[in-house]
Amino acid sequence: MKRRALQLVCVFIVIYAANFFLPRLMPGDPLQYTSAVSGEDMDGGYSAEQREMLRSYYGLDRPLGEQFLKTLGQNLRGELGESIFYKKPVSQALLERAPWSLWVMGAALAVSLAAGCAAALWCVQKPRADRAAYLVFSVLAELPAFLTGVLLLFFVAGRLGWFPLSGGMTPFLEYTSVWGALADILWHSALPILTLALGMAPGFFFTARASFLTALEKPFLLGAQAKGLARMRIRLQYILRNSLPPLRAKAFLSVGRAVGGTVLVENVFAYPGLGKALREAVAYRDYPMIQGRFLLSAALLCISLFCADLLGAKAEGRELG
Amino acid sequence: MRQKGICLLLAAIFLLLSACAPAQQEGQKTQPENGRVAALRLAGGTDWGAPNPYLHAARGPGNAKKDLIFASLLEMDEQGPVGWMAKSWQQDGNVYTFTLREDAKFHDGEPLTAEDVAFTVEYYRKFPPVSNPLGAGDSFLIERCEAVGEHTVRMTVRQADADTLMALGGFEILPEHIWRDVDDPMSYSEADAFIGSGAYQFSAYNGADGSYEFIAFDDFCAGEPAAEKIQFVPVGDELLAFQNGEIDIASMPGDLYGQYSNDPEIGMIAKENDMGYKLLINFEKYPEFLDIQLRQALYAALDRQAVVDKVFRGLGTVGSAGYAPAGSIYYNPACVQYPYDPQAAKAAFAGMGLEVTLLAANSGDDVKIAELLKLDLEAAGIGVEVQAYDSAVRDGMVNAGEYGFALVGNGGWGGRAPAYLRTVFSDIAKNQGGGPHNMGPIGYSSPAITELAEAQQQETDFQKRVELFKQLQRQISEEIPLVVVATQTSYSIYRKAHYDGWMKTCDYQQAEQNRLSYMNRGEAS
Repeated sequence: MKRRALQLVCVFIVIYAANFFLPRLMPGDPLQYTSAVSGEDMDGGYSAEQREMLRSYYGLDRPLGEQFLKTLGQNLRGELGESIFYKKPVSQALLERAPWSLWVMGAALAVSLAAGCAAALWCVQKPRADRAAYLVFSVLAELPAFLTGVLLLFFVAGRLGWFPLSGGMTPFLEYTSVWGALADILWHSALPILTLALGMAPGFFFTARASFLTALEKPFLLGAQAKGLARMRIRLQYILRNSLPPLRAKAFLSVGRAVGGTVLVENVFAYPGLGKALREAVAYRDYPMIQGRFLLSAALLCISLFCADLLGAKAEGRELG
Repeated sequence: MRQKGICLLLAAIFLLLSACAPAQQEGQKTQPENGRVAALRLAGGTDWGAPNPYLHAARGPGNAKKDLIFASLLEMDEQGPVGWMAKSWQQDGNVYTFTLREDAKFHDGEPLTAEDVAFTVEYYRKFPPVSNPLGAGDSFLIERCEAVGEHTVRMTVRQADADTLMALGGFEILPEHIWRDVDDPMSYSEADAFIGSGAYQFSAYNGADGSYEFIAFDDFCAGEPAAEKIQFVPVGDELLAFQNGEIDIASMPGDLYGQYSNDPEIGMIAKENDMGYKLLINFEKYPEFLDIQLRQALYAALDRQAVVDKVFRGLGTVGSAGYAPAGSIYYNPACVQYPYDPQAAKAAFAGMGLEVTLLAANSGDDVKIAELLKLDLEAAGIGVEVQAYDSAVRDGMVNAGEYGFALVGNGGWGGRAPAYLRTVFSDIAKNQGGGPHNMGPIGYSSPAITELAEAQQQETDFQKRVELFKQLQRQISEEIPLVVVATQTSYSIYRKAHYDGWMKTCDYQQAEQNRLSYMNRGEAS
């Protein structure tokens, strides 16, 4: 595991350096991009003198190597710098948004894992149900998340009005209790979570199905059936329990997909979060924000990969032991 | 039975979630007794920064939110400059004197005096704000600013020109008692950083979901706020949110013009020919086009009406070769016209074997327009390769002159005095890197255009300036250093019964971003 940890640290260092240099090597300038996007007015631009003053303020006039060392020093002290577009500390901008994204990602992962496994468990001993579920999940797997999101937005939120069209909570509402606030947050996040979960559930279904089918062929299952144990007990204690390692690994490996999916889902539902911030940071070439945002994703992915490996190694050890 | 049970369970969870909807704030829809609308709700959802002069994003929506809280000396209405914190003003050569309203106050109750204005000028000299009409560094507009009484401030500029009055009257006044101790305004975000003297006070800002709330300032001295609250709420689909009553004004897709223009309950406010597209030619790369006949053939090759019909859905006009669009008070209808004549274009380019690259942004309608132009140019015998990049890349390439042909679109053509004719065409002012919209033809020089473009800038008499603009357009239409493709009209829709005060100034057509749209103006509204 030490070797694996070292590998991940090396990966992280490479990603860290790429996060710093790639945005700066891309064409575009965070201070020169002046409302010239189609549909925007041509005001709001900085004069040449002001641009130079701002370049100096943000340290963009320094050589790239010097900027890198300064950023590294800042990051090691736990600072992520100042966002050029949002005009606030990057850490503040990320902290404002991270809870929303983490909630949607975490909930979507949990829902899709539960739904995928439950469906697989339910179908695994029923050939007709299995064929139907296989078809449904195959279709879901091919549906892009943004399309699912738009369909839910127009029909479930727009037409039926069961859920809000956008946002993370009702703006400017004064809640009378914590429960009221939590219910509102749950209500607003239902469709973003459902959209993301529908995209991830097929992965869990197919992984679980394959694992369950393998477990079905194991001799211990025959023993359990011969004992006359209840079907539910067999499913939970014998099939599910013995198929957990690949599902755990799949869950951790799905974090990357969830991170990517939130970018689309947050944009469709105008849901607050890191996905939207990433799109804006890249569009406006907000270097410190791009770095901070990718740093967070890279850390999240490396940690989840490490956890997957750790759990895998433990399970392997148990099996060997 | 079990399958049914699972289905019922899922349906129950779904309905339970939908039942989590909070009770709506009924008070928002009731009409207050002071004649104000209870709340005006607009599309938000994007973090445009905190609404103060140093923290808002350098874009129109960020600037407009700051403008609700902070007030300037002057404002623009439908006719021209009007007093805002200043009740009167006068110019004597390079010296401008503004007399402030005696009852002007900041939101914390402190009086706004000439000392605050003088302090603001010196503070902005040291720390230029994001939206900055005064310039920075050596080109700072004001040479000297002094308070000559409690309510009178005198400003001396280096050289007065046509834009000086609105530049001096357009900066937001800071309260000296708050900002005098602030050494780094770019990182100052305490509660008092949002105290201004505007018609609305800061109430709430949530960067994560892009929501903002402003509440009416009862002691505002220059008019009556039209709403108790202005709220910018997160919106995924603007039109859907408007139809569901979540917002009170929304941008209208061109295809729905027929539907909404016939609805008596819906009001529409146009941004007439405000979005314009031009085709820049880099003459250093394609010196062939220094020949006026080829530029005329270029115009003849392009079916610009097709851009209006197919891309703008009929809402717009073919661009005037003089650049300023039809509908503007500065527009010169006597500009040279260049009708679509594909046969003449084909004959002009025959045998030349021209191959060009056409740079475009991959956002908005740019690629669609570029592809239409490509079809026309190829029909005329010019090979075209469209290169589409994201806006930031396109901006950088246009600013650096790294293009052959470049399609550039931006808003703001239809409202303001076309001072942009100077920054696009004058040999002295063009290509200073302010952005693609300020970039003119590279490798083309015109003394006649430059003389007129510079002269209008110095002319402070309105009628004489309009005349100079018209001469300038005529000259541009004769020389055609670039191709004006088309200008687009867009609309915002609103419910008249809820609020009917949306307005455009003579200077700016974005109703949602004009301060006066949020004022109760009686007959004027």
